[in-house]
Amino acid sequence: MTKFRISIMIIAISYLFLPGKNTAFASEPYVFGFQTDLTGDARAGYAPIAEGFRLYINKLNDDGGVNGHTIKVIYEDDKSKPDLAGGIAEKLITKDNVLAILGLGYSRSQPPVLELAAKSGVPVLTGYTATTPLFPNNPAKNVFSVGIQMHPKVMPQSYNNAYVASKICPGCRVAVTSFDTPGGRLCNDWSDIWCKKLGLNVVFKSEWPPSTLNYTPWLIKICNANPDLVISTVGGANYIPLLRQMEKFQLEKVDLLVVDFVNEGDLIKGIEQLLTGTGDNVIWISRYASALDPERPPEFENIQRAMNKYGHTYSLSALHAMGWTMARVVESALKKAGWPCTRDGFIAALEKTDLDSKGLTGGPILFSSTDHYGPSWWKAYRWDGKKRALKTILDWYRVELREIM
Amino acid sequence: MLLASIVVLAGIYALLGSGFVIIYKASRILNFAHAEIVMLAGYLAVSLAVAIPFSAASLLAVLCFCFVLGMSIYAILIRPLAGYSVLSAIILTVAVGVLLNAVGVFVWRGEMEVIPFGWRTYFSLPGNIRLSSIEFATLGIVTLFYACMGLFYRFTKIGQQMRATAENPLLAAQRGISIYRISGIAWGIGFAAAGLAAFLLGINYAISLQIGNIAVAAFVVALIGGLDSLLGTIPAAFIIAATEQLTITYANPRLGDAIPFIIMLMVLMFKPWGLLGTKEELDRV
Repeated sequence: MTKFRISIMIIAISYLFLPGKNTAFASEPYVFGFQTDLTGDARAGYAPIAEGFRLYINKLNDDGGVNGHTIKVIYEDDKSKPDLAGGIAEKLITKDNVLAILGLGYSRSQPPVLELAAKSGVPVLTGYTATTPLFPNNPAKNVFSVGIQMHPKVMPQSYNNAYVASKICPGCRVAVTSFDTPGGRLCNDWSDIWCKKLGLNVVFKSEWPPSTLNYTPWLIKICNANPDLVISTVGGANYIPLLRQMEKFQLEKVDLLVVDFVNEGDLIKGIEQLLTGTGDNVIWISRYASALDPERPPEFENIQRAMNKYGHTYSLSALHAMGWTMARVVESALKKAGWPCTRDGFIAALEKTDLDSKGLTGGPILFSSTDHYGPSWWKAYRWDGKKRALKTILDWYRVELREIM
Repeated sequence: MLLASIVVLAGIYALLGSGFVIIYKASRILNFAHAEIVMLAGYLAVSLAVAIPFSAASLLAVLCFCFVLGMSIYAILIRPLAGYSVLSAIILTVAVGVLLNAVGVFVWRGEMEVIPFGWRTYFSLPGNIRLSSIEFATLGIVTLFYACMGLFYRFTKIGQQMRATAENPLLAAQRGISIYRISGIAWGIGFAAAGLAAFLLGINYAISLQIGNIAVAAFVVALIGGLDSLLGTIPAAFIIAATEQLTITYANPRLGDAIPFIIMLMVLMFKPWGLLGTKEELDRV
């Protein structure tokens, strides 16, 4: 009998020290899921956001976390495969019981995640894009974004393409191009509409399949159309060969306007691939400040320090700034929500977000109960071949979604 | 300009198609890991280009690596399957492709990379044609490759043994030719051809996880040309490159990806053994 009692006592004491059962000795973390394209076709546009987010969270945890609790983030890779996205979200929601899903990637991977999250009342805070079927003045209850919202009736990127083009080259001849995908075509249609609304002359409009390597057939047509500026809403995979082939067709004097879906690393790779040109015709529009801006905000130095301390895979970029800001939004909401924090509590706290972005974007990140996206701020740069840096050609300007619908 | 573009693209397609043909001729196996070999060789070329500043030296290193990789895959994975159904070996190449893709993601993270090329200039030719030094180099390298392969098959002992093995493996073995050694070398050369094509793709465009997708068009080139005809890849590559580019230019760009397969279906309907392939080969398949 004594042996039995001793055994019971040993088992009871051991239980207390089992991993995950020692709540009496250490505080529980806030648990989040970060689901995005860490690998795959679209990785260049999303993985650096996850890295920026991780850097800030590591720093925050080292400083003691929020409300005395650390933040545990479960990173999951969509691999740019929409068929994986739903399963990953299901696992994060039911098995990992996350407080919120963060990140997201390819627009075509988002619908299953958003549907599951809506059913389960799980908050979603997206990075680069939120592809929701709802209007901005009637946001999905649980979806927020520190990037942009994509919707058939409102495409901020297309508006910005046209706005920047109209400012730097009023009334000029424009070629609008994009990926030949549903999102790309939509974006191109809206670029066309906005260019015309803003007084530009659209002389060429076409989409190219994402697998395109050789742009000769399109460039022949573009040359015949004789534009002053080419707008191309594509990623790095298309931008790099396109820029070189524009050079081959002696279009170095024709501006090429791309958005920040081409990250700064790919932007430079494309320019380095030029045989004789310097890339001075490359215009880059970004939602967040560029790491290549000689006058970049001091907050970039904090990101750089975190990179040195915690390690990194990608070179410093505007997408890191986006991920870093997203982590600060999470921190700010957790501070308001307190401990313990429920999913509803986190949503309520996010709706009170008014965060100083410390210069990483043009103004504060603002969410309210009626607007989960807030205004977006944009900046346009031109590549300076001599200084090998981006120079500002259009300083921060504010875009309100309801004004461009 | 369109014609020049077609010629350069055809050169790359032909080179990619040759990898399929060389391996098939020697071992009767369709290598479905070809796309991943192209991707992996491309990334390796990117890394080597950083380490070795001379383009020719880094290209040579890539070719050596691909040759050894091809021979190793044959020796370790394919040869033990001798005597089993060819289907097993083909499925194995699919598995090798998946594995190599994972290596590409793990080591190079699937980043978009470009291979720097030292010779940077443009040439203006009659007829308003403008070619880059890279395109000249591409055409030169492809021509040299085919010339070397022609000489290799005709005048070297190993080349003649390869032809003998391709024509009748049993008889070749009875005459004392080590068909396993010959097949291993053919796999090495096939992989090296993929490596060469990857290098050209990397200097002309960019290397990514998806760059190997172009190998799908090259597979069509090999089928149209004739799976046992290296020479057949040349007209086939021109047909595919020309119809693809002309369709994009004058018809609908969305048909560009589909056109190689439409041509493949037409050729298979009227000449199933390919343009320059042997009819007997079809019976074997």
